[in-house]
Amino acid sequence: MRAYQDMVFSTAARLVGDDRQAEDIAQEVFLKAFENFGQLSTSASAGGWLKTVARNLSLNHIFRYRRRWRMFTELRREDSDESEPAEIEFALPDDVLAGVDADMRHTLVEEALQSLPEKQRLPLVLYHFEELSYEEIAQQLDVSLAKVKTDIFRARAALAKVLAERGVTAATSLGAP
Amino acid sequence: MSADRNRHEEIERQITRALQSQPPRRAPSTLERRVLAQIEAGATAVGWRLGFAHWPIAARVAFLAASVGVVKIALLVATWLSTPLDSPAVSVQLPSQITWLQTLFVAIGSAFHTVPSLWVHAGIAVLALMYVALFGIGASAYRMVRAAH
Repeated sequence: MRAYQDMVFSTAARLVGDDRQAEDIAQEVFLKAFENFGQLSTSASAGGWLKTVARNLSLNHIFRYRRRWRMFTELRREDSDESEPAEIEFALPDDVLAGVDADMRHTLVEEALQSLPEKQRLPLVLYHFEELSYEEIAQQLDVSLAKVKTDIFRARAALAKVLAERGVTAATSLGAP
Repeated sequence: MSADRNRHEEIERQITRALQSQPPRRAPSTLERRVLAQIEAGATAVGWRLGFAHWPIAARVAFLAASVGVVKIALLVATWLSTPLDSPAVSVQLPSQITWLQTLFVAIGSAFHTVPSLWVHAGIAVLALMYVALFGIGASAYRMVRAAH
């Protein structure tokens, strides 16, 4: 369990965007692993199994949660999501986190990721961390391929903007040039 | 146009690099303890997260039986409340242990019949309104807590 707990927790935390819920999900993943211990203990793909279960449980959790509260949280009609993304209107340095040490950089990226709206964070995490294709993400999230591409596109822009702002602040506070 | 594309490609490159270099997040120190405690307790999953399909068979059967019982009682009460007191339907023979229940419902029914129907409808409307308001307050509280979190 110790060998995989960071990976399982990371998968859940990055998808659901909430550490407490992620810990609950990680707990459930390891309990499922315990139920299937006979198969997993001799399997070379135990890590893959755990990651897949963590991803599926996280997505199930998000969709159940979303269905439960959609009536109240999504009363406003969302923007046309499949239109072209807005222009990038901020200054992007050559390296958005130049002058920030590695630990701070990792913290800033995680915080920036969690600050993204769910509809952007989910496809971005599934694409970059879970290494799913656009088609697989569209299938998992039950949305169109065009929406997946647009959301990932916008998520990258939003993330870059947050990182550029926070990176500059962090670099300044660390005394970087 | 080309400048925009270059800009977007640069963002994609930087974000991909930033995300690929992220190490896994450290799991809370409580996770292992929680899992071991659950295993020791014999639980197979986090209880509050489970749906009806995951309940033990006995619990599911008991719940269904209780639900049927509740529906039967509700129908019986509705019949008593909506049937005139001198109707043969009310004079059904019941076990002596629960005759007090019949007396109670008959009393409630007779009181109910003396209330003008306008009041009854208004009362139902007020109850429905209160229920919706309660639901709305709950949702607002949830949104506030979520926003604060």
